[in-house]
Amino acid sequence: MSDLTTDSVPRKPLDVRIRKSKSKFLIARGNEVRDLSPTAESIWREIDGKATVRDISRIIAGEFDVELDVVLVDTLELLDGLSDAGLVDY
Amino acid sequence: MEPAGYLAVLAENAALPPDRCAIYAAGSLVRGWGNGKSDLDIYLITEVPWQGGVVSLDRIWAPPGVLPVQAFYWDGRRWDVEHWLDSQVDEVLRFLSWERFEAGEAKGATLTDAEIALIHRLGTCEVIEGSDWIKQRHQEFDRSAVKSVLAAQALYRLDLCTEDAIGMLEAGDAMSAVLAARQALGFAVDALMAVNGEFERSPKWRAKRMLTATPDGISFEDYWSLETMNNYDPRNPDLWINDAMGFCQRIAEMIEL
Repeated sequence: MSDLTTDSVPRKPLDVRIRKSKSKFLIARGNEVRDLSPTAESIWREIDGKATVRDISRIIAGEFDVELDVVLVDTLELLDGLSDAGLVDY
Repeated sequence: MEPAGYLAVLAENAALPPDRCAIYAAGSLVRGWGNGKSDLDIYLITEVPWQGGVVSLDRIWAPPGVLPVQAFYWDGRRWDVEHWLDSQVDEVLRFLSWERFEAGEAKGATLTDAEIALIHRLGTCEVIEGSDWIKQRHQEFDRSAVKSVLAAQALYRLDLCTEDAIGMLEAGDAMSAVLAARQALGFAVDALMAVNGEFERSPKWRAKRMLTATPDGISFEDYWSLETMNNYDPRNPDLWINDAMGFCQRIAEMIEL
């Protein structure tokens, strides 16, 4: 587990490779590849190197009409996994 | 010029075979982007190989792998006449099938710029002869995977240049990183243009193609600022490189293959 918190500001490493098709949204760096779900893709798209995890979660909660606390947990879990794979920095 | 005028000039310059599927004029002049120095490109499609004179035999992918090209000057302008076989157009169409693309078979070989121009220009050409052939071929390529194939190839090259740029930057070679980032920017825009139907790859027309395609989510001004290195600071090249790489990444996220 990393020390990612709701105040962390995630960033996308510039050498992440991205491929989108009708059914997949793939991100890859080195040998690490992830196929993001539509919700995870929405979270990924909100990462801009300025927004905190809480900011991103707030946007997603509004977009999908879900409780912020629930989204925060899911967003932290997703970003934690991506961070471990080197697909997100913070 | 009227079709009869084109045909007369081609006949006068020994560039008109007897049986033709189609003839069309294309390129910058036809698109309205030309100038006094621009060539006129003529595409001549037949079922039997051209037997007349040539100035070059260009290497292409489509079997038999050569493209006879004639060139002459008429009224102060250079005409380039490419003699294509109908069977070569069939081969290019097969290369660009969705089945091959989805099976990953289109990755290995690469169409040449001549083949890509031939296809793209079906949609922007001036018909001289064979309008039914041109219309049918245009529809066939429109239904093919051409946009996805060419976008995927450009994205692959973008990835390579991005890795180069970042590796060079990490090694302290900012000068080479700038050049790699400039290449990456070109490939990113080419990929975006490909999925928007502007898939010819000549770098000199990239800005014109951006203005024509007007892709959603990317402003021409942002692109042009990076292309012209407007905010490049030689004391801190990392800034421009990071901006360019970030822009490329945003483009990659927008492209649906």
